[in-house]
Amino acid sequence: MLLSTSKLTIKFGGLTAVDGVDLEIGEGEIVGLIGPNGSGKTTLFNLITGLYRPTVGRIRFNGREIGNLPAHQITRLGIARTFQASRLFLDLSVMDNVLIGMHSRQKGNIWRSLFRPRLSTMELLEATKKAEALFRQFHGENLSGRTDRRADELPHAEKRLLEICRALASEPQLLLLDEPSSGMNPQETTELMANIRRLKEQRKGLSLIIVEHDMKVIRGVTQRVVVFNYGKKIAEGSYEEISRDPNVVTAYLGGEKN
Amino acid sequence: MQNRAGVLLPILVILVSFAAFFFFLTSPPSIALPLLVAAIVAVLVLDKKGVIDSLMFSVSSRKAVFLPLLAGAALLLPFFTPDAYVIHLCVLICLYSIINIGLDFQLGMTNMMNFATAAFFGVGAYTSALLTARLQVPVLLAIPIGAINAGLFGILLGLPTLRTKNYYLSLVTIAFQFIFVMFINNMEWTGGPDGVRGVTLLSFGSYSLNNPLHLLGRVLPYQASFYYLSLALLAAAMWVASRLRNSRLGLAWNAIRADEIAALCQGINLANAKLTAFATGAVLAGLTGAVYTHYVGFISPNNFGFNLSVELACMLIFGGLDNLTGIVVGTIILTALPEKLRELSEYRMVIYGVVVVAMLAFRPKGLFPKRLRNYGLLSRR
Repeated sequence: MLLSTSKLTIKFGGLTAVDGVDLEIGEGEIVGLIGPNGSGKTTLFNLITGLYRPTVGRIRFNGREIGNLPAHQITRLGIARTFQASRLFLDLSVMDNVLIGMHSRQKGNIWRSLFRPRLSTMELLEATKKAEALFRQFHGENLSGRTDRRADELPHAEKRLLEICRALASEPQLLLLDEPSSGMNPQETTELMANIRRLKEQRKGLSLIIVEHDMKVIRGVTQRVVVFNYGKKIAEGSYEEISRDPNVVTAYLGGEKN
Repeated sequence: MQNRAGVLLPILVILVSFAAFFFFLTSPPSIALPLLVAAIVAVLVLDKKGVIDSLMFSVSSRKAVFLPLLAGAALLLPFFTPDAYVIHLCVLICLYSIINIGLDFQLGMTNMMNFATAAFFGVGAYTSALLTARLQVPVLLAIPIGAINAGLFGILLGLPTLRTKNYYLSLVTIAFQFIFVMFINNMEWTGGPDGVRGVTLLSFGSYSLNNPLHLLGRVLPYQASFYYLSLALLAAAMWVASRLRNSRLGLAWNAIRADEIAALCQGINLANAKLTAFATGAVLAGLTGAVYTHYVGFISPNNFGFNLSVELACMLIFGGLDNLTGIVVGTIILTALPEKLRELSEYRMVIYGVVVVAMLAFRPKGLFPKRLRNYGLLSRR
């Protein structure tokens, strides 16, 4: 297993936001994570990426316990993410955003930039070439023609895509996408799905967990779906299985109390 | 034609800017102040039309032409004025610019407020002054020790900043600033309120910087030697700043400025990056302080108070954060302005305040706003 959590729990005061979750993600797997608002999906991402510390439970990644590691080390180990509401570096260029995404794979430090200026400039220029290759590979010309624009000048859908590119720049083994299609129109969503499939063809070993409210995306790209409600995992299986699961239907549509 | 305009226009602008700078420093307030207003308006208008951007582009794409021109103009400056006071002002401008380049690592690039810059300046100054005056350490050794000591204090101040942000961080730095002044005021070995007298003056071997400078058949006041020294240090500081800006570290600083959580999730070690910003900035301030000590020969706690910290931050914000041109121009204007207003005695700080507030109100990004990195230029080098 690439990632596994056992009895993962986090409490904020009296609220248990994630409650005893056991989850396993295999190498190369695409897992959808769904559930009503406030069911703990983003909190789970924050736990896996080290922004929150679990109250109870373990997170193992590549056989290594990461529950207590700081977030920047977890990125270095190979977990990258995007955010529900874009968190791009808006006052920097498109290129800078992706270069910063490569931070954990670069070695430059203050001594090298001052005493090996040529080497350090070379590294930076190589990184810009890598970034351009990433733009081309991931979704064609839309971003690669705009690398010198400020990130906040991009249209919404491209901002979402840039955030995915930035995450990919850290060469992750596990990529966590938090509602990648939010704010996109149906056509943009279709393109996003095509992009994710293309990405999977190019990087077979990459695993993804995708939080989505758009069931078209879940059905279209994921192999397995995990359903959250009130911080608990209430169902798991293929899209067909979980969409017939009475617990899931109740969670989404509200059930009669018997 | 296009190509020639790309060289001639910047040359013209550089010469005009230097002439304006020179007249601003040497002429009486009745000429200097309208000149300043005209210059600021000119910059704002040209910037609106995108001229500044294309000028900057021409300059940075033909460094081989423009750097010697800029350096030459700066080097010739003392030859145009026999007035020691004007040269003294230029020394201060260079030194304050270096401090502000260091402050910019924190305030401009990383968005961490720091009101303790004058304290770092003071740590460098006192370290070097005390080492030379009390322990007879050679000046050329004492200066780097002063800079390093300031850097250590930078790390010390940086530590609590890892847990505080925004207003809280400002308060921590203000507290540090006041503690520093109180400390040197109350310790006996720092000379207390009387300061340190008889600081060893700067000399390279038998050549003392405190004698009139004989150069190209002219006798320049001794301030000119310090002007050249501080100009060289400023050039070095600008080189360091632009190296750091176009590096993994500079990118990390900018990432923290834009969004700390997102920066963390890119694998940036926030603690390291922030401490480095404080340490490197403090080293520059400390170095400046050490040189300043051996320039003026006497220091006291008053030289390193909270007021100076605020004034330095004003210069930086006025000129434009994260923009070297802006930092230097802001420092020039706000260092020289109070001197020009000296005749107005107590009203001068009122006018100074109005100028700063007007800039913040109408142009919060400063005279020269920060610019995006240009990787095309980098690859051409």
